[in-house]
Amino acid sequence: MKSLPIWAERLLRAICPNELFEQIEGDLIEIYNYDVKTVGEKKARLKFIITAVRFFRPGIFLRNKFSLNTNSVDMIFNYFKIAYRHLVNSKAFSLINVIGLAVGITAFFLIIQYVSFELSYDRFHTNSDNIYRIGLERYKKSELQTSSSKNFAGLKELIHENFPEVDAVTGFYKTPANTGVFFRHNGKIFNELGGELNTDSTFFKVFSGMLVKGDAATALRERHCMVVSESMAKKIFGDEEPMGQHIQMPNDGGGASERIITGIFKDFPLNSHIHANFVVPLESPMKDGDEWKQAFLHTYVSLKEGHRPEAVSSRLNQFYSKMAVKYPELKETKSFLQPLTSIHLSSLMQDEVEVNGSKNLVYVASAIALIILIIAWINYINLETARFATRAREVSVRRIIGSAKSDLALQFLIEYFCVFAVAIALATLLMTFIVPRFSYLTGIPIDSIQWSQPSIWLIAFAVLVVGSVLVGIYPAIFLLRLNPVTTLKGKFGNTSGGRAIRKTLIIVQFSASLILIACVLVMRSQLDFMQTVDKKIDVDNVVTLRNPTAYSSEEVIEKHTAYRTLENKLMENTSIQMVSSSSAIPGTEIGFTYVNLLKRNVNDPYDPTRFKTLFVDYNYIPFYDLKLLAGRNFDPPRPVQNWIDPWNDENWLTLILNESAIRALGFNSPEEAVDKMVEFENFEDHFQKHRIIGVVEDYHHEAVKKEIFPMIFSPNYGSFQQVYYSIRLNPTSSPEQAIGDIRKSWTAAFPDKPFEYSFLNDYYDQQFKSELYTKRIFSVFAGIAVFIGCLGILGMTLFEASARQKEISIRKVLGASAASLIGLLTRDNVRLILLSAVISVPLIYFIVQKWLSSYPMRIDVSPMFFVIPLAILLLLVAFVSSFQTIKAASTNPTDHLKNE
Amino acid sequence: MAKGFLGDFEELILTIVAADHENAYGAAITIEIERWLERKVTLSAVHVTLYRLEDRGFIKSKVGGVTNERGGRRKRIYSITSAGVSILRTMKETRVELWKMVPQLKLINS
Repeated sequence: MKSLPIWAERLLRAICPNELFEQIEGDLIEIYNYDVKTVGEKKARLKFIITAVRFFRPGIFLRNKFSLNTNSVDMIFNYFKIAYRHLVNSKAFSLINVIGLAVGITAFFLIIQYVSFELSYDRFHTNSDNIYRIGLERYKKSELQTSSSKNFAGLKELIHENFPEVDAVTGFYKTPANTGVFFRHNGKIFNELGGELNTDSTFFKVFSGMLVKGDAATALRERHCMVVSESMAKKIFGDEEPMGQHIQMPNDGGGASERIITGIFKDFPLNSHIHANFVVPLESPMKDGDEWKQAFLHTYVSLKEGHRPEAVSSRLNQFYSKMAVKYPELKETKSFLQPLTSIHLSSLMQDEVEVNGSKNLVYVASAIALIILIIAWINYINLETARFATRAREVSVRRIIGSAKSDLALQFLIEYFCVFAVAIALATLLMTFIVPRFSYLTGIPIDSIQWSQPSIWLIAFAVLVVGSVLVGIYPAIFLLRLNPVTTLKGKFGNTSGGRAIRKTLIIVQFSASLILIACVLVMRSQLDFMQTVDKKIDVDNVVTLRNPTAYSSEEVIEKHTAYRTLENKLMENTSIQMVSSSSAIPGTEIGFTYVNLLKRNVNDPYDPTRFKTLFVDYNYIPFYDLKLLAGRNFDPPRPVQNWIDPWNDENWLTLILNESAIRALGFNSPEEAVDKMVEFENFEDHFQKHRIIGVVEDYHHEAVKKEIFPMIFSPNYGSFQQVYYSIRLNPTSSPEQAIGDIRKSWTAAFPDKPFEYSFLNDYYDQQFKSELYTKRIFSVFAGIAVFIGCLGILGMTLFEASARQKEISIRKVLGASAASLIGLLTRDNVRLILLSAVISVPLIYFIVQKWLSSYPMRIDVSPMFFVIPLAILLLLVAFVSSFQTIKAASTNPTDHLKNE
Repeated sequence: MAKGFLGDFEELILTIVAADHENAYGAAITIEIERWLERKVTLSAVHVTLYRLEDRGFIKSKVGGVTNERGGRRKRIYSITSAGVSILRTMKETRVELWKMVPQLKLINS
């Protein structure tokens, strides 16, 4: 009889209940033999296989469950008991394992929380996958100059008429977040920061899920309409029905003075790239070609299902190139559709609605999360495998007595499971303590930490589970490979392979620690550098106020008078040194940013360089201590009778430029530029000759981390461009005293306006907010990684010291000094650290270079970034291992040898 | 399923077990069905049915002798219990009763 396929038999054994297997197999063989006689061997074989496979049916394998093998249950309980004994027996190692894993898991999930928050931006919109923003790129000789998130006002109409595949299109501009919205309701005065969104009824069609009350089509049709957020409605009207309520806006520049609430929208959640509490109608649409002059609207479209954004943008660009004949501003521009959900992390453009996040930061954070987890796993593997010498005997005895390999594997897995379960419990405990402090670290308030990104969490859990299982299996496999006979003879077989793996893993740990420490170091130095770099401007001891009448419809003369009153009152105080007014203060973005604003001749061709214009008074340059490289400051103000006065007087038509601006205009030196006449567009389409009277040194106006841009300083005497007042305090008087004085002066000048102030250096430093958070996140998590690594080292030295106790004792008896013994024990670690340093130095160099290159003002890569992490790690490891090694080296050798 | 109810295949197997006194086991029953009834049946179906009948108390089993064709494996030999005999009888009687209620058949045939 030819032997029957063995796999069929195995399958049968696997699926059949034990007590039935023999008879089933017998029956199969009997039928096979019967078939051989009746239909021949070949057919019989085939039938045998088919019959065997057909035993794979519920009637058979469900029968297994009802016969629980009580013996294996007992064994499993026994495994738990052994695991418990084993863990308790080596408390130090168990503790190190548990703490390492718990801290690692906690850190891992905290970072994943942050990552999932960053990735969840703008996904709350009902149709977020179909919404795109249309950005604008400007080229100069086919070379990309700038890319902006704002597009032309005419784009909306163009798309509406020519693009049937677009479901809805909307455009808006937002007043800066630091501008207040003043209004009155029921006699109560409100001054709400956050800015307002100026748009039309299409806004709630594109962002269709936002409107809670009101009709999207009509809510913004009339000029007096206003839509507010739910929370703002609650703040203003309390429990009253907000719809149809009136509010009075005394200073509403150009708009209606009374507004009616025509809609309520859901608050923009934190993970939105737009925030606003007020949505008001856009002022009358531009016409007659004006709509293709300035790009100032953030434009969003929602595409119908199944249409590709690339197709829309390529058609759009065809329109642009055709229209460029008529509108020169469209020359060398390109529009592109950018997915809404990618704006927060992947957009690096000018004129963003708000400061965006950083994709790199999210990657780095995820990498750190994984590194921390891996370091914790490595600890476990290393400690477990290192101690195998002690366990190999146990395993060998078990195997000789008759344990199957699978049973032993189960035993190890159960042990690991116990460690892991305790670690998870501890991690949960840690989480409940840490999560409230987590917002401090990342800037994400606790209540917005959400499970919004199921895929991320799924991946995170998968990583954790798969990694943990692999880590649990590895030591088991390692032990089971041992030959029980040689192990019992006292040799542990080939463990040098295991030691090599252990060393590799430790090198990985050390390298990761070195890189993380180096990154923290670089980040700190870069941030310190940016905060202390000579920004060429003095922002200390300055208090700033916002002009409550800026942009208001009051007569310029009245505004001017109010300002004069404020200035005179302020200057009466000894606590105040100087006062200046300007359209923007350092640290704020300059809104008056346009292309084609300044040229040397009226007929010069279109040039896409963007100029930023700052309207300042004659105090501004001395106030902020700007250095005049050539020329002079503005003249002191003269009395103004009419707002048009300045523009009619040639002596007022003066400009001061910064170095970048004169370079952009093609002057070779500041001296060359002074007293030259240039054309400056001070009204729409109206260029006027202005004289350059001075050139100031470049300084970082908006932020140190941005490039310095071409700037124009234009005098704002009596004009409407007095948005901010800067007040320099006398350094000798106390700030409290000074603020009191300022408040008094304020009340005299603006009796009915709320008083709000800020210190400029605080304000200016807000630009570093994201760096500060990055630094904190990095420092804390790098610290955690290094901590877990050190735990591992502690465990290893603990083990080494006890394993080599006999060797040390003998050496001591033979006359070795304590110092040489300590050297002997630490030599290995030091060697590993040095090896890790060799590996990590190029990596550190690469990472640091890449990271720093994103800053225009940056520090140089110094050797300190490699030496200091190494020193820190060496010290830490020496410190951690010293207790054990010193103890081992200084005990009495007879204690350890007398038992032999 | 009602307690006293037997499916068609179950009844067949039960009858065969009753008929093959002391020699009813999986392979024998399968071969018998294939040979006598010319009906395709798989061994696993027979086994499952046997186990089910045993669970319900209609047959009982013991592990029996070894034969050469079985490659040294023992048989599980089934025999009918009194409950099995009684249900077979009940079913047969029910069927006879039902037959009696079919006079038309005679008319058509005659």
